[in-house]
Amino acid sequence: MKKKLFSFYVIAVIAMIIAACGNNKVQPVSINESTDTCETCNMAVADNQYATQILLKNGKSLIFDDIGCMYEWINTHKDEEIEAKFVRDYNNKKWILSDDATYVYNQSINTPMAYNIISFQEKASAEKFVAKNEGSKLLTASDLADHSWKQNHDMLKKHGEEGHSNSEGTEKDGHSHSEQDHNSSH
Amino acid sequence: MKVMKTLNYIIFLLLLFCVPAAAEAASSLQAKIDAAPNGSKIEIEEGKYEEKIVISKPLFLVGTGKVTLYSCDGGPVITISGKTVRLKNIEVEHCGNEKEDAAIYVTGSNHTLEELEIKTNRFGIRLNQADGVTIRNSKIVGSNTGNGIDLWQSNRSHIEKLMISNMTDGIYLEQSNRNSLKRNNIQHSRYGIHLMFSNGNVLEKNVSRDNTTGAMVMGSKQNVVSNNKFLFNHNNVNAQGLLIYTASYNEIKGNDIISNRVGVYAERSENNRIESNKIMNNFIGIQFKKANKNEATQNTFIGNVNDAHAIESPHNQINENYWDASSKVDMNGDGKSEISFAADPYFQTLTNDVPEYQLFFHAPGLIVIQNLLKSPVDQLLTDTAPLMDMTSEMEKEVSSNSSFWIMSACMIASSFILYLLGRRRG
Repeated sequence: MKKKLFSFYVIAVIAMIIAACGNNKVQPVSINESTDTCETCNMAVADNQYATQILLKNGKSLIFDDIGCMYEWINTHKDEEIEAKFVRDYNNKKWILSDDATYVYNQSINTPMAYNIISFQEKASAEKFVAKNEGSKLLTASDLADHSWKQNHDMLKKHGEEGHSNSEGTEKDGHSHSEQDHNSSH
Repeated sequence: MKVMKTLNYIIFLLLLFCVPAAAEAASSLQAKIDAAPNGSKIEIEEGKYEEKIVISKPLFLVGTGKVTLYSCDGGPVITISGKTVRLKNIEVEHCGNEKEDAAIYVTGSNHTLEELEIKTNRFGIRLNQADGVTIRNSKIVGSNTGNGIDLWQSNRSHIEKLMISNMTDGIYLEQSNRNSLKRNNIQHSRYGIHLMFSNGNVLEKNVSRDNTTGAMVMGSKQNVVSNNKFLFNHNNVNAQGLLIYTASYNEIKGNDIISNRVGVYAERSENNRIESNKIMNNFIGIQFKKANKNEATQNTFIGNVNDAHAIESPHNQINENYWDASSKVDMNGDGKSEISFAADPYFQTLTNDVPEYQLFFHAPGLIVIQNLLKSPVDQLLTDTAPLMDMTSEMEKEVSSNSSFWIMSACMIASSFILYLLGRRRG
């Protein structure tokens, strides 16, 4: 009898665990580089650290190539019901809930649509990036709501108009366009 | 024993002299470059050189015969900086795997790169804050993991007569102005030509075919896209001939946009002029989304499954285009139809929310519903005065299409044969 009761408990616990798993939070979808395009800008989305996504309450998933495109969408679709927003860790590309992430803004980070913001799972690794890269600004998820989302080319244009700088002189000076830039453009 | 000792000694001597000699031969190209005075010409002898070279002063390097430079290490095979460096008749093979790497990396100004053949694992030629660089008569083949030509803040370049295939983007411009891209041929890449935040560039007589998108103009102004051919960009679900996004004051003129999924797609773009293009045999001829204040005139739309789709784009100046599918009535003989042509947004709006509804494309029921729920006229993309006939120039081009004549001849011949056979049996 006791044995029967015990096995009943075991089964109940297992059932509960399984049920709990079934009720798991929404999962981000993976990116298919050949068919996924950014909901905002139509560009093909590379499976890289800049990609973000929104899952809607109606089950639809929206992929973005740049966090700036995601906020552009959020700001122009205020009545859509969002289930979850995901961004990726800059170092290991792991999907993280956008509210849990820490962000870094730096004009010389070259993101696909030039919004220059990257995301980190751990605040410590974001701080490490800030310490390493001059001109970085640490942002929290709530800071993003007030961020101006200005694309970097606008600022550059101003520079160009003022001083007509074509091969040198912009602040940007290609810090992260590639490793190469460090070596040869300075 | 003594013999062994001498042998060892000889081997030791051989190693001592031969190995450094071989190493010196390998680095001889760079040594020659370093030793050459400014402005001199270096003729590279035929052969295969495993070497990375750096040129930072005015020099003319020319290959005599088949000269191949290759390297599988990280970093570019050729690095160019300074002024007026000239490369001619050289094959470059880049087999490194480092991300963002390139076969040739260029900074500085007024360089000329011609008659090159580049095979690359990443980028072909990268221009970083370079000015007035000419790249012409060359071939670039990649493995779809980098751009063929990549310009970053680089102005006044001339990129001409290049054959580019299997790249991410054939020619990519970001924050680069007043460049001219002429007579290039780009195939089997993601985007043929891709402009990002780049102004005042000229794209002329290029052919971009079998790519995901023929050309993409994003966040860019005052570019001229004329007499190009955007063909067969239809293999991807998101394919199109030409895509314009948040771009303004661009001129799209005299292009052949044929057999793409969507011919011209414009979104959130203003003040662009789309004129005298031949938009033929596409699934959708022209598609607008939240694009207003643009002008489209004198274009010819033939054989598209659907001539036009538009959402939230009622404020464009669209007139005097030829739409082969529209009903036309000319009352006053001015060559323009009195019935305006309108693109109904119904189907597009429907499929935007639920893509699966695309299955109902041209389904009779859907057309009935579409007609019942007609969108208000002031919300439609409308050609107020469609042309009755194609412009004479266009007519000549369309009717001189040789495959059309061959096809008709074959059909006439086959029906004649069938007729004869039928008669004989009877």
